[in-house]
Amino acid sequence: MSYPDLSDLRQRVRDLLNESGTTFYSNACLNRFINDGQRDVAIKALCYESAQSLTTATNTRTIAVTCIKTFGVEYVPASGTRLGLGLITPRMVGHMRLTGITPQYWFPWAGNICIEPIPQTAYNLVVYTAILPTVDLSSDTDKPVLPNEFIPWIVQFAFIRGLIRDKKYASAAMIYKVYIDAMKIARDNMMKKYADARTDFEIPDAIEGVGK
Amino acid sequence: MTVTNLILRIRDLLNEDTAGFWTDAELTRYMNDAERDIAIKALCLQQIDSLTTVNATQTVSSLAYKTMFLEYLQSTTKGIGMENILSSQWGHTPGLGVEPQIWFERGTLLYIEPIPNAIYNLKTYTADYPTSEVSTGGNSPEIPEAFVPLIILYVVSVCLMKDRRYVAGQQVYAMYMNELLYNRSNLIEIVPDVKAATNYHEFNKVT
Repeated sequence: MSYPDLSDLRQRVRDLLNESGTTFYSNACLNRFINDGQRDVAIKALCYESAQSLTTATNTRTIAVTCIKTFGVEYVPASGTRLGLGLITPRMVGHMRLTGITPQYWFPWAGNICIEPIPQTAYNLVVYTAILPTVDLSSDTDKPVLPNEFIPWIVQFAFIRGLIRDKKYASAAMIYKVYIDAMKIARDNMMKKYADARTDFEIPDAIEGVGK
Repeated sequence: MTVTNLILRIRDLLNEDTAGFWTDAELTRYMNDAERDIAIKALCLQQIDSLTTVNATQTVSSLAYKTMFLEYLQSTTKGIGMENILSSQWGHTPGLGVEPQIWFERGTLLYIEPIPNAIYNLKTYTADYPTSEVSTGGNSPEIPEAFVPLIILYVVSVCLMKDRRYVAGQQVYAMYMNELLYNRSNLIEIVPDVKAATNYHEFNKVT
């Protein structure tokens, strides 16, 4: 048992449920809760990131992408600097000021990213995405694929599921609120991206001492 | 996640590992209701459809239950997002030219202004119902994978109603709704970049 493998996570869930026996909560049942927890955290925190290389098709706006959310798209020219594309909505296509015919804007729809202007040839793109874990934890020594800082929430999720199975619905709802609130903080702290603003580089005009 | 996987998880939460009070057929019915409910509330079952206008006909039929955006495909390399208006604004938009520019949806019809004087190609960006129901164990729901776990909570809340545990059902339903709205705002809504997001300030350069 070495943190955070499956047996260790299961032990923590059993600790919270105060249930060491495997009759009411079998290991298989708790493993399902833990695997569902890993997926749930990946969906809510968008913390399992992946960069995918894709290529546009001639006269086709859409490119299929396998993910739960696309954060950003970069156009990779044959030579020179990559260009980050702006995120727009479908109603904005044809209304944006364009420079040339290479990809400049994008929006997500129906499991695709859609490129503006419509590509007239094959262009290389890098797509920054959040994805789901593809393989369930099954062996006791398997470890979650999520970043370490999100693993405690997997235990919380499995705990909530365990309480529902035990018909402790009010308790489950209470822990669920804690889980969601904590998840939002973790996501904001760890996953949200911000660009520095001009003010981040400015020295204040004057700093006045207290009492002057 | 297949029907078999979902039933297993629903039974985990109901603490009924083999069918008894709740049959598999019943759970599958609830599952299909759940998938439709999620598609309606989260607008997550998106599609892109191709439609064409008819000469001198203002309307185009759309089978999707909600058209979110409409694009006029001027050529193979240029599309133009059309403006969505209210029917009360109809006729108060002068100087439109001849190509499709504005639209509104009523029932299963999309109303196009100006009235098309030829066949024009359109793309609709829609939210739709599932096209078919899941039935056997190997079937998977059509809604995006990130929304599939919500089916479990919906079905459990309905099952608790059948068991006359109305408060418990409501508590689980509240979790379901919270999850659904969280996912919708997290995964479905498109918030376009502001101008500052694609600008880089000269002052950032190292000197």
